[in-house]
Amino acid sequence: MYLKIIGSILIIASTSAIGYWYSTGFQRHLNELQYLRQMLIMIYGEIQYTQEPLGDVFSHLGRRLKSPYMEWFRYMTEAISDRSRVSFSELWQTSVDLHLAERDLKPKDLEELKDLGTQMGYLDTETQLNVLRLYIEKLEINIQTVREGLASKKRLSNCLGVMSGIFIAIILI
Amino acid sequence: MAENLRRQQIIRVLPKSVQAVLERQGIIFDKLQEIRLRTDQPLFMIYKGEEVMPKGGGKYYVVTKEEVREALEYISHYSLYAYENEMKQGFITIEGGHRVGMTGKAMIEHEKVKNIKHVSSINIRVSHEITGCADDILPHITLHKQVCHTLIVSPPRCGKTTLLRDLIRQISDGNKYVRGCTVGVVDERSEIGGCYKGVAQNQLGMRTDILDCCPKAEGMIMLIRSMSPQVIAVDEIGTIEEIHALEYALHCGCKLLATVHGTSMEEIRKKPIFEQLVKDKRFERYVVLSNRERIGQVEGIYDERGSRCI
Repeated sequence: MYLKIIGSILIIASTSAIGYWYSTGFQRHLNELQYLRQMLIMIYGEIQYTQEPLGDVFSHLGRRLKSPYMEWFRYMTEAISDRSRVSFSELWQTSVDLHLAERDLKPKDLEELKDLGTQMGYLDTETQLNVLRLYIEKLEINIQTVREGLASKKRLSNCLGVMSGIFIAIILI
Repeated sequence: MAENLRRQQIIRVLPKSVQAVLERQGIIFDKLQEIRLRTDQPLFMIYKGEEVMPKGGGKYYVVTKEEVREALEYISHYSLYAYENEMKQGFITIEGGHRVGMTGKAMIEHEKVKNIKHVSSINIRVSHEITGCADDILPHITLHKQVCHTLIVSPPRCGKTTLLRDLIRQISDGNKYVRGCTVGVVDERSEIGGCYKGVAQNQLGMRTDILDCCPKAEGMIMLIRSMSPQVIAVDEIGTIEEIHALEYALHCGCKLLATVHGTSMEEIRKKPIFEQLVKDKRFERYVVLSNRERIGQVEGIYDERGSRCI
């Protein structure tokens, strides 16, 4: 009997932990999007104020960002300086895959971020800033959407975690 | 500048395919003067003073539109927007002071060139300093170890900027003819210093402050107010605003080094905006250059009265 009780408690605890981890995933996703927005606002400001080439922008900002964005920007600075790729978009997409694929960003977020690379670096400053502004606005909509559903999704994950544990325990008993 | 460094600076802005062609040719970059990329035209170089058309696969290597675009990406560090102002003037200065000229379709706004689009030709002019080219002139434009107000008169492509650059270096560093002094340079077209990110790539001496890509008239006044130079150097003066700024600098006690397009003292005397300057003996020395026998040949050095010194 004691074994059954201990086993049930363990099952419920594990599924609850999974549910909790899943619920914090929504928060991590939101945090990641917010950091991405903050980073892009910094790129926007740097281009608007200094009008420096992208390599210099990444070099300046890289020092102020946290890992792995810092490493990403360092990689971009070096790759731009070496002219290691034919186009900027190719370089940008490779670097996003290399540094951000493991983060809590959804495939859709990564695709949008990669698309940004196709519009960076050419034409005039005004167009460049408009492109960034558009992306930041899109990011804000995404953040808003994630934030709106966050509380209910977190609650649902937590409940599902506990409930599925109870369910499994009942079946096993 | 070391051959390897120059090679690296030039090669990295060229399309990969053109890089391979140059590698095959075994080019010595110290002897290279120009590389020209024109859409759908053969690749041209001025190498050891002669025009060279490299071959690829038995035929003359023809540059494609994509290669011109690729070169433009590399030249601008994938950031064309950052070079808007330079492109308006038709060139970008890259690391090492090498100048990349470009042509295409000019975009006009308010009757001024706003930018260049559809770039179809790129001309990479390799920077070559000639240090010591002012050695023979310096003793004639200095007095009691102080530089005289000097105007270099020269037709285009006769070495006036090269001479001015070396004079700036020697005056700034100082030597047996002149006491080293602070030189302020207004480099409107990045020709004197070949600045890259605000830092002169050519040797301009240890006491030189350079204001890059700044209009001359405005720049001279800015320099006087901010850096208190003992000598002010400018290239190719010609507008009335620049003459006014020169006079302002004179009143502030700065010595002047300037260049102007011209072929002789007589021509300078006849130019309306210089006539009064010569009459008022604003300049103490006039150095007239030509390319009669060689580039940078000194035709004569004149004093403030316009009388020939040598």
